[in-house]
Amino acid sequence: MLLSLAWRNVWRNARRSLITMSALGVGVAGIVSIFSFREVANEAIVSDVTAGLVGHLQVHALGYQEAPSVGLTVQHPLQVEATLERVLPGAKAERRVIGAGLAGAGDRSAPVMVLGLEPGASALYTVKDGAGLGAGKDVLVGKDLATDLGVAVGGELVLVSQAADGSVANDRYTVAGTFESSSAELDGNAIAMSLSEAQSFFALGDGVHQLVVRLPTQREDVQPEAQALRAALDLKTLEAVSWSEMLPQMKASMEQKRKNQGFVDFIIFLIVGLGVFNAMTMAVFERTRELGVLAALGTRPRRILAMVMLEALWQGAMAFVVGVALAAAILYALGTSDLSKMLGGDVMGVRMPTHLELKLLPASLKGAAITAFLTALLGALLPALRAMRLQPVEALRQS
Amino acid sequence: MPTVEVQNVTRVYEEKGMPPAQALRGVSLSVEKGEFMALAGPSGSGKTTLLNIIGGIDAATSGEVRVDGQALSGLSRAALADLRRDRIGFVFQAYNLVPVLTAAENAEYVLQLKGVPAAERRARVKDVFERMGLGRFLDSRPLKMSGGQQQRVAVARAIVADPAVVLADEPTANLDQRTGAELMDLMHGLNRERGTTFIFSSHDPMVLSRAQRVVRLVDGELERAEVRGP
Ligand SMILES: Nc1ncnc2c1ncn2[C@@H]1O[C@H](COP(=O)(O)OP(=O)(O)O)[C@@H](O)[C@H]1O
Ligand SMILES: [Mg+2]
Repeated sequence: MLLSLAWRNVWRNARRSLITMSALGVGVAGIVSIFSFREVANEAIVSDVTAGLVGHLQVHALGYQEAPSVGLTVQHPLQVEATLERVLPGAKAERRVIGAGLAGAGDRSAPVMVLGLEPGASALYTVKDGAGLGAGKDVLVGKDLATDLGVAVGGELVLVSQAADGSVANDRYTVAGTFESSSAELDGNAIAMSLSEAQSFFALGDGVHQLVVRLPTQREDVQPEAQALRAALDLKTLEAVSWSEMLPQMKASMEQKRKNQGFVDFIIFLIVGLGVFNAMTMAVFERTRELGVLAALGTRPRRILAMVMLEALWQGAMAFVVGVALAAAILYALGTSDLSKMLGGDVMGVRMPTHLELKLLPASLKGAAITAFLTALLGALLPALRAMRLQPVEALRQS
Repeated sequence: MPTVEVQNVTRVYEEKGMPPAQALRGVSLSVEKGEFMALAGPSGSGKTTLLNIIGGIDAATSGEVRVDGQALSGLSRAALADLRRDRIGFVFQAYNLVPVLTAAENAEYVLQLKGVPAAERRARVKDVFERMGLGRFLDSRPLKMSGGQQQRVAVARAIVADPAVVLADEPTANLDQRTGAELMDLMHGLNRERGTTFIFSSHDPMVLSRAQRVVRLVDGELERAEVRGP
């Protein structure tokens, strides 16, 4: 009966309750949609990062992350891959060589990044023109670099660099195709060749610069996996780093956005809480005499407190449902969000997602529930305490 | 053991900027089980104050009140609430039904506080309502009922849990003569049939004439002479 009494009390001043619930509901909807929007964006960024150049984790020769150099290689990458498969079941490793050099074609030249990739294994790029990556002297050129160098499929270019042993590396290559990737930096600077060709160009033997690890997870935090891998590696010669350690600013900016939302949530919470406080103060004030009657009939003070709190909780519950529905409507009505005007370009070598598939993330419901229920509870607390402390005789004297 | 025992009770109202008001000056009174007793006295004589103190919603400045032998002084707010729930029934001048509850739910409220199961609650309320001629108002909202009907529901609410005593402060003051007389007959009937103890206040001779015993308050003191009715 307490629940039903509280429910009926909600509708005694329906206009006031509807206003309170609207404020609560809009707050809930705001929190859910902002949260979902932000986390969908974060998920997209993380998935771009981990699917692309960076991966979830990388294994390098010790010190490579700090100061990459062509001579710092993982000497026995296949052995490391075996360890990896044992420690992190389902993880996929990709061996990579990365070096710098100068590319020349005709009378044009440009500094380039040389990528040695396992043919077929890399999800880094898609072929734009021409054929895919083969063995031997065939290379793929980033689409913008190809324009800068004025080369097309079938053209030739010359690469010059320094090999691991200090000798001059140079060779002549055929452009098998052009590629585009999720990174403008790659599109504008990179030349891709087969791993074995890059190993011989830089005189690395079997060595590679990076073992890029992709984990069978969508999680943002892969520190546990990084720890597990480290425990199994010879840390005197190798290092294992996670994507967030390789891109600390990106991780920091995600965290910052979350913190900012915390602040926005708090403001919403405060405004809506004041609304609840106001409405419940009025309700208690108007019903002072009736509360005195209930007390006189033998209702314990705590039960009176509970009754007033329940009245606010009902409103919180309805606002929660309506707010979540409203947020879902907003998110799915927008469907995909085109961010190209807001977020164009790359951040730290990673192209920011331009299109987001918006959806309501279940994780956002926690914040929404806290807003709806905690705001209702805290907003109603003082009026409820006031109701509880009413002296029955004095309350009965009110007309 | 008397059902209600009032021993030398005083009540002083102290309000800021006002001289202290002596509402009760050493009132002693004993009410036995099954009495149908009236508290008479002009306006301002202390009737409401005394009923409130007996009912445990106001506290005596000095003196002691016992209901069913239980002393009220020193009880916590929760303990007083429990005592009211278990032993006191209130009827107010202004009916004071809860407007969002139906008539039956108003009467059920106290039974529910006592933890009586829903089916039994409903049955007891129905029974009482039918005896009181309220059978067709079970599911009516109070504000759709006349004053007399509302006050009957208030009486039903006060007696349904079989309290030790029903305290009715000027229960007929808002009703016309005839309706007031009917309400008094009803209360008297309940007193005889169920043995419910009633203490009601009034300054209306018609109401007082129904009482078995009348005690008169004047200026916060009980008059010596009591009138014993039939
Ligand atoms: N809350 C109060 N504050 C101050 N004085 C009061 C208060 N309530 C009652 N009194 C005074 O106490 C006296 C008795 O009042 P009351 O018990 O209401 O009498 P009755 O019910 O017989 O009319 C009156 O003089 C009244 O003015
Ligand atoms: Mg009075």
